[in-house]
Amino acid sequence: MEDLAKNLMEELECETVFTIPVFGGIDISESVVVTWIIMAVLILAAILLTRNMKIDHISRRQAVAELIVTKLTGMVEGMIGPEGKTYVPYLTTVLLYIGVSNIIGLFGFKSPTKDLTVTIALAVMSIVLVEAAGIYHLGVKKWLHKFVEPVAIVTPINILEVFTRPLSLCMRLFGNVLGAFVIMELIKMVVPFGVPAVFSMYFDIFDGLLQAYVFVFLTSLYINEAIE
Amino acid sequence: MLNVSFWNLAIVIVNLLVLYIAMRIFLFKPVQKIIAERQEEADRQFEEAAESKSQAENMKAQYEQSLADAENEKKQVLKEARKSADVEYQRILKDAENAARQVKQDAVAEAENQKAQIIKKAEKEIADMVVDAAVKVVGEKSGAETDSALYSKFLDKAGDES
Repeated sequence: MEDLAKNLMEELECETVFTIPVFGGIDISESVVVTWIIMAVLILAAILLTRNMKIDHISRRQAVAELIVTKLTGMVEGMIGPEGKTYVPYLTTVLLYIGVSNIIGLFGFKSPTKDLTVTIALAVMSIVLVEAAGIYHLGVKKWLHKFVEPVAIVTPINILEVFTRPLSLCMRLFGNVLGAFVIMELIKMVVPFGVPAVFSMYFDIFDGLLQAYVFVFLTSLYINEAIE
Repeated sequence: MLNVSFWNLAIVIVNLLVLYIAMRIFLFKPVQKIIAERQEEADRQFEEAAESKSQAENMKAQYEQSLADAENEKKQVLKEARKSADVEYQRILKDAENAARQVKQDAVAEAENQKAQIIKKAEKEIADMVVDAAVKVVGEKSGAETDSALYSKFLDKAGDES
């Protein structure tokens, strides 16, 4: 049992892969390296899929690229509505990144979303995007006025929401991925053969993609609320 | 897991921004561009189809117009032909009438002429007969007897003659 706890902690610990010798040494953690790998994979896939596209007689490759882009952007557009069209590419990118991050554990990498740093970064970007969208669409005056709506007494709660929203986003994602990972490890300890594969379908693939969807869905909901 | 370093946070944010820009450039832009181009192409083809359809309709209308024109022209020509034929007919009829009248007049004149000649001839023969008779009577008798004989002889001769 102590072995298990030790193993788990080791798995969960985000090791420093290397240190960049500037500013007194920047420790590059494993999650950042895996993020780079994911970025490389996504960008390479995008370049390969969208190479010499044609208007008619399209290749299967192009059909796949078009299907992915239209389905994903269509899904995000459905969440955010026609006013938030500008934010669709960013949200789709986040959807792809979180989705790939959550299932990359299956390929032997440590999921970046298992590192709190990454989920905090995602949540910070989301809240910055939400507030920036509010200021851009409404102007500073109306954006500030939103804090005293619908009645002045809820202003503290509205201000608090600026912090609780990203916190909940970040912790939900982190907690789900972490929880799924711990449960999977426990199952592997109990039944090392066959059964984990079945549970992995749910915890790694379904829950991973679902969390990506939830993260993007909530962010688009906040943006939608902010730009009304 | 729980140790959050500022630098890693900053690096992840930069990573995400880079990924976002890269995805925009390499995935969303080209695909959306190609879809927009295809839409344009489709719109253009629809437009062309509509244009050629309206052209065909125009041509059809022109054909119908020219057909109607031809029909009208045919009617016009027929009408004129009928009219000129009528005029010709009237002229021929008139000519024929004139010719017939001429022939009739000529015939009448000829007949009159012949009649006059016959009468002249008859008169001449009568005069001859009278002279003949007179010579005969004068040669046979004289006086009243002669006159009456002359007269009856003339009558006889005239009766024979006529």
